[in-house]
Amino acid sequence: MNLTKLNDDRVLKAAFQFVFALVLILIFSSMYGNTVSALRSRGMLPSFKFLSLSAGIDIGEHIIPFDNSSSNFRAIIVGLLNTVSISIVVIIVSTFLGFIIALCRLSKNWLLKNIALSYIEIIRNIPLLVLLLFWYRAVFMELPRLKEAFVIGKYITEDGITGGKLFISNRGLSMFWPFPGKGWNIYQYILLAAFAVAVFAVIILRQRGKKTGRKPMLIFWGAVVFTGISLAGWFFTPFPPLVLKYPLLKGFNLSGGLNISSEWGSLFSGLILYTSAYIAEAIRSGIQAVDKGQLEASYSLGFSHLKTIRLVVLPQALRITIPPLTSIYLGVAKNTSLGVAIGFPDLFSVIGTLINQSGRALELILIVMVIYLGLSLSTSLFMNIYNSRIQLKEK
Amino acid sequence: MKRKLLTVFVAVFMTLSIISCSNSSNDTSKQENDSSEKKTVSASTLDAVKERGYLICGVNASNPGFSYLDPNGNYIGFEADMGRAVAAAILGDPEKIQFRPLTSKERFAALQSGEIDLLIRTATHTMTRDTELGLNFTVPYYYDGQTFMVRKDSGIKRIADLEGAAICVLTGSTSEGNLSDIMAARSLSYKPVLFENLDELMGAFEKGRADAWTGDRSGLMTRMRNTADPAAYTLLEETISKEPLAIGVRHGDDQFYDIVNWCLYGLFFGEEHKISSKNIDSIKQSTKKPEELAFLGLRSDLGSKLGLSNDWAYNMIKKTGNYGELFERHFGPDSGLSIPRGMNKPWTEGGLLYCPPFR
Repeated sequence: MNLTKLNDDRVLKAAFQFVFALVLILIFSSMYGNTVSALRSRGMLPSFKFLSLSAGIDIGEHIIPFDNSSSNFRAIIVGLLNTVSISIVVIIVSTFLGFIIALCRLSKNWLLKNIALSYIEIIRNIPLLVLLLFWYRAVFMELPRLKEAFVIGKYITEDGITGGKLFISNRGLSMFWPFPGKGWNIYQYILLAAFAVAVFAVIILRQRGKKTGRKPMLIFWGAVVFTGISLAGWFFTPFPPLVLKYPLLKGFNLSGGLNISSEWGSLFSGLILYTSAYIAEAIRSGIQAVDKGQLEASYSLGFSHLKTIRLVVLPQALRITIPPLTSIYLGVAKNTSLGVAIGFPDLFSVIGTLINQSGRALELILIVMVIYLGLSLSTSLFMNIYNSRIQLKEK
Repeated sequence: MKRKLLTVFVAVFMTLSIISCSNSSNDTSKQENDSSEKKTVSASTLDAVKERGYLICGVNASNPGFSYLDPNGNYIGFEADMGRAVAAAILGDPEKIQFRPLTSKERFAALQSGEIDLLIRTATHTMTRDTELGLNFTVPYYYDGQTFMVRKDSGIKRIADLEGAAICVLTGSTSEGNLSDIMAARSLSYKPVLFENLDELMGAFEKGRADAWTGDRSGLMTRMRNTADPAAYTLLEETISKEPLAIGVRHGDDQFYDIVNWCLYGLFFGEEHKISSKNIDSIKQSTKKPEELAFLGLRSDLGSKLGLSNDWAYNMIKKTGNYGELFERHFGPDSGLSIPRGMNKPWTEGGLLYCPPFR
């Protein structure tokens, strides 16, 4: 045996890692083999053929069309879209809210500071499930019944049907909402064109800004161009592109307009309360981590308080805040699964129903694990890319 | 340097030992698996139960009437007593049984994986469950059907009146599928509101979140009584599905399947022949009817053909009662539920309970 080679540090390290990998592979392959043989002996070997079969159920809230004859696969997608859509809305709203709370918490105003402090301390110490049940049972379910609903802009149609701009009842909120009308087909191209022109304008402005050294308000001018063209386009389309639809009380339920169910509302409210408290703390820690000398330097250079915050503190605080924010965002997607307790058809709830209908517990649990893993991984991938882009690049 | 060498040797040695272990254990475990398969999965649940000394039965922990956990930690209900009857038949003692509370999501997997011996948890016998899940279902012990609970003042009298209604369902049953099918078949639109938890569902339904609540008739009846104002609600006359509730056992163990099936037939037989826990001893002394003698284990050895003692049926009826007694105890007027017997009567009285001859 050539001892000198064995004593070489690099060889040793490589050998050790190889051995370690081998051990891992062995352990996992024996686990896999064991599982498969155990499952086979019980007649439970996974099969995914059921995915293309009809699910034979209905789902209360669906973004894409879904009915009794839709497949199990489509049912999973419907659940996934419900989870993803509410997560995105919650993340956006609670980031804004959390930011404001963090600023209040750091403000010199005694009242603001203490309101923010008690908000954060109280909410962070209540389990999310309790918050959700509170919103559902004590707030939304206590709203009046549909028949006695609170209506704004109430009117009665010729057929004797009650309509209104906004209905508030324990079935949720229904309000008038624009829906694509006859002219939409043409108008969507106008919107597209307006968007393209706005982007073009922003690019030109930016290049000019680079030359002159002045910072033009890019977003503002972009928005002006976009709204200007789309407004002008509105009057040129022969039919109205968007039509307002009012909720009407027909039979047992409201139809038309935009309906936000009590379940969605409770889950949304509970989640933003909970998440914003955590986000506020993450942002506060980021802001406070910025060195005091930076502020003093900024003030002595003559920056105003607002400009100091915007140009000196926030860019530095953001870098520190991104990693903890990522884990909070990851939590949101997973927390939506608690919606099952209050009847919101999120991914987990749909999977539960499918397990019952098809009896394919093992396969569906595997699928739901893979989906949640995928959601989390893509969120953290996205945040990591963002993080590495805004990190200080040391030259 | 020496230490590094040592580490490498240790690592190599460990790997080798793991390889050899896993190889040998693979071989032996395969053989063991094969033989134990025959032992536990395919051939003899009965032996396993006898060896263990008690039966393991999957039930519901919160379905009053059928099976629920009382404050003292006992499982009370029609289904729990049915499990006790099987325990009495196999082991001679109705208390030699351990109950496993299962949600409807967990129940079939628990049976497939061998965690429980039999499943008595309002499981509807359907073809998919019978074929695809590797289960066997006994003769139904309760004929149920799905219907709707509505407020009396809602004006809903028929299913056709439910157009556009919000309907709440407790998840984890055949109910969601039945509801979806019937509404699709009649082209009625509706909005399902699904709940995982009964308390949430009842709270929301009573507050008017939904116009109707659908589920098995028996379950809705017991739950209607638990609402704040039972008089405000009613059940629709129409029944939208057949729900034959049956005991589930694993595929491939014919002996155990026979035992559980004949236990149910024994309970039916008891009622049909008016043999109850109270009069069984006197009937044992006095009866001259050949079938009753065979049933009680006095004339032939029916019990040993099942792999049980010959007084299995005697033990069962004596210690838990016949079908009628179980029904009376848990669904009768004294139980506070008063569920009508409906189809769940002996065939001699116009019901569907019919047992093959004991001979």
